[in-house]
Amino acid sequence: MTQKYQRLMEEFQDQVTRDDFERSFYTRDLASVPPIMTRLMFQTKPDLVVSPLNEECIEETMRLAIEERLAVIPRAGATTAYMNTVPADGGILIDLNRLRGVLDIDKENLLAEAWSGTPWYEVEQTLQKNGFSLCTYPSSAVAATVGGWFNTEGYGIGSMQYGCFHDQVEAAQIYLPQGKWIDARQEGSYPLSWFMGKEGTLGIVSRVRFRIRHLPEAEYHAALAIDSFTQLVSIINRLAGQAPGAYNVQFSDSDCFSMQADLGYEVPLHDRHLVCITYQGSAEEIKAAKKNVQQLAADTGAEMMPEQVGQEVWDDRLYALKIKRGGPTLLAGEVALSADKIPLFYQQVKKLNQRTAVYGHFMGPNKANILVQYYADESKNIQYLFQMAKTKRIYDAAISLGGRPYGVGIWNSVYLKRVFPEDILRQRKAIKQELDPLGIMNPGKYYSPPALLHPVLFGMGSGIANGISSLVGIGKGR
Amino acid sequence: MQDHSFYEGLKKESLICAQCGYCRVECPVYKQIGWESSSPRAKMLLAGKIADGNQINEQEALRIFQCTMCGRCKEQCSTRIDTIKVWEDLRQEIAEQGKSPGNLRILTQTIEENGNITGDEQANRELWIDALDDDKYRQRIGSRGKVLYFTGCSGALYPQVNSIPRSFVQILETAEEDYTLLGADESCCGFPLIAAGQPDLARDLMQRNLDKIKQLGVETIVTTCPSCYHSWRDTYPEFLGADLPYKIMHASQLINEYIKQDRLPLKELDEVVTYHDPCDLGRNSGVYDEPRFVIQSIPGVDFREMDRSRENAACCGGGGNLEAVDDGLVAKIAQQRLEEITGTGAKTVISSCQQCKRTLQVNARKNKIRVRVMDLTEFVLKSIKT
Ligand SMILES: Cc1cc2nc3c(=O)[nH]c(=O)nc-3n(C[C@H](O)[C@H](O)[C@H](O)COP(=O)(O)OP(=O)(O)OC[C@H]3O[C@@H](n4cnc5c(N)ncnc54)[C@H](O)[C@@H]3O)c2cc1C
Ligand code: SF4
Ligand code: SF4
Repeated sequence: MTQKYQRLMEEFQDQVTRDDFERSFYTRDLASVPPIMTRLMFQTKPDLVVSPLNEECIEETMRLAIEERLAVIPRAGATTAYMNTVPADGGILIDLNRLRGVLDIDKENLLAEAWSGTPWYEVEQTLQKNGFSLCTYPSSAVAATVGGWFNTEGYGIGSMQYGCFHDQVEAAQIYLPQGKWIDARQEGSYPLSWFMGKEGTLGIVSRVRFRIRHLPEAEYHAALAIDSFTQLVSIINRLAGQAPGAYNVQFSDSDCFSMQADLGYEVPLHDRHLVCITYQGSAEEIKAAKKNVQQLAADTGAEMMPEQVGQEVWDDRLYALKIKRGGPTLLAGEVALSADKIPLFYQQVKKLNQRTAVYGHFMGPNKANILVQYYADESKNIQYLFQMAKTKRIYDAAISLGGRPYGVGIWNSVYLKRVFPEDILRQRKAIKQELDPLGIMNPGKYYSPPALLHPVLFGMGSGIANGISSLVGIGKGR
Repeated sequence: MQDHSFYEGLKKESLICAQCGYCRVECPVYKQIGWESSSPRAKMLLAGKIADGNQINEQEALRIFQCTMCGRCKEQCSTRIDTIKVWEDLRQEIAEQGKSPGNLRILTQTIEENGNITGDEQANRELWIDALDDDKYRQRIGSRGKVLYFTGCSGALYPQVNSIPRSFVQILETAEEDYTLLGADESCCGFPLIAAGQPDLARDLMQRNLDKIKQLGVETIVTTCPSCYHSWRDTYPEFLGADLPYKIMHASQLINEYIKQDRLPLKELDEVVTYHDPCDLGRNSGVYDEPRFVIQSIPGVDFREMDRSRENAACCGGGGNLEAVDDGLVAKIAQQRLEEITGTGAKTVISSCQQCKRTLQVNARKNKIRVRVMDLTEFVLKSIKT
């Protein structure tokens, strides 16, 4: 151990560990990737783990990393699945979960500030106690943190009305790999847009200040049964111009329900899809919304389900993983796609030779974030590799329709060149070069794929796997 | 959410675990230790390792036993894993590998040899009655009665909480209940042995208790201890493979019935109080309302709910045999709960569990926190006697 390591450990004793046992729990995220794949390409165990209780600890850790040119991997809830929070080649992992709590609620200006490691549900509870509420939150809000969503895509529950979380951020305190703190704002020499969604590749975020709203007086969850996703497009198009606007619109296909039913859950539908529209506002607005929804159903041929169905779907909104029990592994591809392309995308997904649960949220009136989940079994190694290859077909389908994978990390970095124009990628790399000249922040993620994941090789490998799968049935899903 | 258990064994559940971390955010142990290894999802990874036939080391075993079995993780689990069942089975596997923490091995041996958790002679289970200074209580031991009050080891043998059975029998007398006690014939309910990974030994004790009850004409078994209640209600039928011919009640439920039947002369108490839900009574058994009804039936009481209450209630730190494994950790967890308690402005915290009372009281004293800790039975008796 170098003297610098030693110094850090002495100064921040219970916030730093080199213990092999402790480090071994930071080598994976949500995705179960066969060790044969990770061992071949990566060194996923960090050399040191730091779990800061304050900003001083972040600063000292970053200083050490800069001096020693060590990789720094920020990790919070670790509710992502693209290896964003796992070392690609060792280094210092900063576990941000102990930087937790709401620091301030500015009631006059409707702003709140929280430590980056605060889970969203905790922020919401604190706000509600004071008569306020979040504008948006991810559907992983139980475990996902403020800093985690700041660093990823930022769309979720409430985005229909309030758009991306990134638009609600007023300021963030960030330690740069150049060795200094900055107070990033929407405008200025370090605009927030440089950092948001960059998956921890530009600095460590310690605090975020963002817009909040008054706690709505009332809410209403309408559940509409539909036979096709063309109806969903009609619904969303009609909703776009309506007042009051919908707070959240989410949809689940019939397989979401059949998978739940197979596990013994009570389900509202068996062979149709469901759209759940949530309104939040004054009692007057809710009254008007109820009337609008009746008309919407009549105009689009959707069937209004009992109110209790809408409430139950809403109550379950953070539990998309409940079907995983039927796997035991649940593989997924998550995409962002324009609303009018959903029916075509759905058609292609259903050709996967695999039962898939399709579930999505609107990111605004004309864009949706769609999660396609399917069963696999990681305990059957070879078959599992073939099953994994199917995610590429989900992404290919979205990309062919002008969409893109939602989130990058390592695994989706192979699609970057196919979905972003060259100048955008170049611009991102230039900012990275300027802010992180040593390339120590979360290396191997977001900008380009690792050598062994070269898009051509990856494409060939997945293509062959998918070909074999459809020919001989290996990895054929349930 | 459906509340039946989906449990399919260690291997399957460890594969089902999504590693999403929903279980982690409110885990009292993780919140204190802070390293990922102390989180429930890390325990799920260890479950996979053990299920694959691997030996585990001491460090891993310690992390498994650093758990209060509070059930918060089960409540939050996104894939509906019955984590409590997982933790029980894991503890059994570890015990079979001979890797349980030393103090738990001693506890197991103590219960096996003495029939109770303290190592006292069984006759000492009757000492709490002496202080009541009235022979009518002692005469209940071994008598026939419709209601058996199953005292539990802690209530009977820890002098610090003897006041709980003493209060409860006085309530039973006031309500003119036809009740009986097992006295020295009572054995540990088996719960601590399950938490120590020894279900077979627990089964023996269960059978022993049932044999002692048979001749007493009992219809209802009532406990003041939530863990005894949970065992009798849920674990006995599961372990013994048959429904018990008894109604199982917790003291809070029986007292609530008495109040509804107007059998207790409750008098005014001018006190600001809050209620701490014991994990085994609340989250793990679903009893939330009755203790609150009882408290709010007492005239003059200003009842303040804590932010985290009912299914969201934080654990006091005293469950899951954690005291025998890491008492420093218990103290830290208790401290956090005590801060929430005092945050309500209450001068008295009421619980319905002798272990919660012990844990909160000891740590309030140690940290000079000015709050009185009372069991529901003590509070009710105080109202009766005012
Ligand atoms: C059931 C479920 C539902 C989901 N729903 C949504 C959804 O609705 N919308 C959505 O966008 N995503 C969703 N996700 C994905 C994921 O939960 C989100 O991206 C979430 O915001 C990640 O937060 P986290 O705290 O888990 O971050 P992590 O996974 O720990 O980290 C995410 C990225 O941010 C970086 N990072 C984290 N904290 C910091 C910090 N303080 N400073 C610098 N870098 C940091 C990490 O290095 C990593 O690259 C869902 C996931 C699940 C399992
Ligand atoms: S039972 Fe309680 S202490 Fe144990 S892992 Fe679950 S939440 Fe943590
Ligand atoms: S909440 Fe359940 S599925 Fe998620 S990590 Fe915890 S045990 Fe696993």
